[in-house]
Amino acid sequence: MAFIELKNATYKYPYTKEPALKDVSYSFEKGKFYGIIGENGGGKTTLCNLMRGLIPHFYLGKLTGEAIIDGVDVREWDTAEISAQIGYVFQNPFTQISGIKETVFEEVAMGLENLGVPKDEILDRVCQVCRQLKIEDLIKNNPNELSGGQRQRVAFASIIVMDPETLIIDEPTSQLDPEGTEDVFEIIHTLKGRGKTLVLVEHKIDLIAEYCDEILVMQHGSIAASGPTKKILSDLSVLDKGAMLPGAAIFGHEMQRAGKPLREIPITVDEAAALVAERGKAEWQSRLKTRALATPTGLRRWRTLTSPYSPASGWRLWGRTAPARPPA
Amino acid sequence: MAKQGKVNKLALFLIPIGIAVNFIGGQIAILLKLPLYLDSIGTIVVAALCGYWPGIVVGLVSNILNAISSPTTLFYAPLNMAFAIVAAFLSQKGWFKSIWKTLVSSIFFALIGGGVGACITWIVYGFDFGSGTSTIFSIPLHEVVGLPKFLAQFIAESGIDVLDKVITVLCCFSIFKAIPTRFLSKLPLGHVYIKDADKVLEEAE
Amino acid sequence: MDMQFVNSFKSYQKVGNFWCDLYPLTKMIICFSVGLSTIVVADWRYGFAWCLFYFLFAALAGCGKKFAKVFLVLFVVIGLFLTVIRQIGARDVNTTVMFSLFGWKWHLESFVIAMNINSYMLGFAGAVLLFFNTTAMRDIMYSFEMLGVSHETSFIMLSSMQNIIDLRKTSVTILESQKSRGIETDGNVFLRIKAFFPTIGPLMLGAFSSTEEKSIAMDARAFSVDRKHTYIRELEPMTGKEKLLSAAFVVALVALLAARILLSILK
Repeated sequence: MAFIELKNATYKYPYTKEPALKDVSYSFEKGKFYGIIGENGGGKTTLCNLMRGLIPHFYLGKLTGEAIIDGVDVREWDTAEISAQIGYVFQNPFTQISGIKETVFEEVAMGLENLGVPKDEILDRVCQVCRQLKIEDLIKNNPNELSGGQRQRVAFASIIVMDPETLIIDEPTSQLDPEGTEDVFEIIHTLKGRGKTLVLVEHKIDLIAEYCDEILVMQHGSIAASGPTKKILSDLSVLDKGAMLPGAAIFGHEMQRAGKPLREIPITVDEAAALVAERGKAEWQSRLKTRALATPTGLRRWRTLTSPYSPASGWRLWGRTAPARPPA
Repeated sequence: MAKQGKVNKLALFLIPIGIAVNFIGGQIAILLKLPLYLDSIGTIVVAALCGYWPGIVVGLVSNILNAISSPTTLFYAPLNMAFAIVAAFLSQKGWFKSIWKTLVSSIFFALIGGGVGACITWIVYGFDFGSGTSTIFSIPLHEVVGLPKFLAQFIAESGIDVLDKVITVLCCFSIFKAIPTRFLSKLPLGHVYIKDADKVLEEAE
Repeated sequence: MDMQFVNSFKSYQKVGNFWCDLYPLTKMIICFSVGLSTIVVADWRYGFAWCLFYFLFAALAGCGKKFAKVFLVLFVVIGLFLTVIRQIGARDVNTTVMFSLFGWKWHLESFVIAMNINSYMLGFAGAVLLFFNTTAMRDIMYSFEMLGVSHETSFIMLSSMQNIIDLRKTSVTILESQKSRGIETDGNVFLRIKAFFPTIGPLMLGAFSSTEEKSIAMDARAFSVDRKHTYIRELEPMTGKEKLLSAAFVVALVALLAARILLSILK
C-alpha cells in the first residue's frame, strides 16, 4: 500500500525563478527502504521537505499537482501532527539537539513528553532505545557537550523513540568524521531490521547499494531514474545523471571491458567477491594472480589500482577502508 | 508571553537567538575593550524583523537573565522594551532600508535610552545621581555647568548612548542587508526587507 | 545502563537540602517579598541585616562561596561607588562632618542617605541573587508551566541560556580567526570598533540561519503538538507548610507597605 503518493508534483520556493521540483510522480510503499541519490541542487532535500509536509506549509511557495501522505493531501495536513508522525533526521548534528535539556536521557524523552505519553512508558521506551543505539553510557551527559557523532546518535534516538512508521534521513553523515559515520551506518542497519519505511538521502553510494530496496536518482528537480537498487546501480548510464556507482559495480564493468565479464554486475563488495570467486573457480583457478584477486585484500587492492572512479580519499565500505589510489 | 497562541514559528526560535546576541554583543564589546554597551542589537534586530511582541520579549528576558548575575539590571528592563517598540515601529515604516534613516534612528534610540534610562535611575536611586559610568559626565555637568541634576543625568546618559546606538543600528542595518530572501519571506516583517529585484520574481507568477 | 539514574525520575527530584528543596515558587515568593521589603523600608539597619542573612542562607544552601563572590562585587560596584557619589552630589543637607580625607570633608547626612539607598539596592539584589543561585532555571520554568504558562515560554528562557553559552564559544573562535587574518583588535578605538562588525555579523547570520533547521527539528519532536505534556522530571508540589510560609511573607510585606504609607501620611 502506498504511504506517500506523489502525482505530477511541481514546486517552486518563494522568490526563485526555477521550480525546485518538476513534475515528480512516485509512490512510496510501506515497509520499503528508499535511497535518493543525485547531484547537489538536484532536488533531493526539497523532495524530503515535501514528504515531511513542510512544503508548502513551512517553506510557503507554490505547489501544484498532488502529494498525498497516508491518504490525506499534504495541504490539508496539520503541520504539527504530520511532523510528529514522520520522523526526520538531517545532516547538522548541532541544530537537532533541543538545547533545553540537561541530560541525554531527558533529551531523548522530550518528544514523548510533548506527546503526553505516561511517564513509566516513557522511561521504558527511552531505556530501550538508548540500549539499541548504544548510548547507555551517555544518558547522564549533557547533550550540548557531545561530539558530532554522539549528537547524531542522540538525534536518531530522540526520533526513533517516538516510533514513527516512516523515517526520512537526509544526509546524516555529511558532517561527521569516519567514526561518527560508522555509528550512523550501524543505526540504519538496525532500523532496516525493524521493518520501518525509510527514505535515505546519502552520497555514500556503497551504503545505499548495501541497504536500499529502491533508488531514485534526482537531477534538475526531476526523477532521472528510479527502480530496484540492483537495476539502477549496475547501469553505467546513472553516471550521466549526476550520481555515482558503487565501487563494486565499476569493478564489474571494468572486468567486462577487459573481456573477462562476471555473470552479472555486482553492486556490493560481498557480491563482487562471490562473483569473482565463482568465475575464478571455473576459469582462473590455476592462475596465481587471480587467486589473489578472489581474496578480499587482493580484490580491494586490484580495484583501487584500476578503477578510474576511485576517489582520492579512498573507499570506505562498511568499515573496510581501502587505501587511496597512489597519484599517477 | 504566557499566551502566545499562533505565534510565527520562526519568530519563536529567533527570540532566544536575539537574547543571546544581546549578551554576546556586550561580551565582544568588553573583549575588544570598547567603551560601549552594544547590548541591544538582538532586541532591535528581532523587533525589526518580527514585530512588537517578539522584540519586547527579547528585551524583557535579556534583562531577567542578566539579573541572575547583576540583579539591578532588572530595573532597566523597560528600556530594552522601549527599544523594541521603537525598532518595530520604524521597521514597519521602512526606516531601516536606508542607511541615512537608519543613522537618524540612532538618535531616537539614544534619546529613549537617555530619557527612560535617566528616569529609571532617578527613581531607583532615590531621586538623585545613579551609580554608573554616566556619573562621570553628569556630575561635572551639574557641578561645573550648573544644570539641574535630572537634566545633567539625562544629557550624560543620552550622550554616552549616541555613539553606542550608532554602532548598534549600523550593525543591524548590515544584518538586514545580508539576510537571504528565502529566510526573510518567513518572518512577519521580513517583506519590508525583500529586495525589489526579488519581488519582481514573485509578481511574475 | 545506570538504572539508579533512570529510577530517580520515578520520584520527586530532591537534593537533600532544606532550602534548595523548597518549591521554586515558594523560594521566589520569599526572596522577592524580602527584597521588596528592603525597598519599602529603605533603612540601612533593616537592609543590611537581611544582607547578612543572605550570606548565611547561601552558606546553608551550599553555595556560599559562589554567592559571596558575586554579591561582594556588587557591594563595591554599587555600594562604594554610590557612597562616594552621594558625598559629592547630596551636599545641601550636610551639617555634620564625619572625617576628612586629604582635606575632603565627609558628611554624616549624605553618608546616611547613601547607606539607605545602598541597603535597598543591595537588599533587593541579594535576594534576587540568592533565588537564582539556589534555583535552577529549569525548575523555575517547571513551576511556571504547572501554573499554566506555555512550554514555548520555557523554551525561550532555557534555550536562551544555552544559546548564550554556544554563541560565546563561537564568538571567541571568530574573534581569534579574525585576529589571525590580520584584523586589528588591539589598535585605537576606531580600529577596534571596526573589528566589531566582522565578529558579530557572521555570528548572528549563522545563528539566524540555524533557526530554520531548529524549528523543523523541534517539530519532529512534537514540539508544536497541542497536547497535555508529561514531565519525567517532577518536583514535589507546594506543601501546606510552604503555602503558609509564603503567605506569611506576603502578608508581612503588605503590612510593611501599609505601615510605610501610613507613616508618610501622618508626617
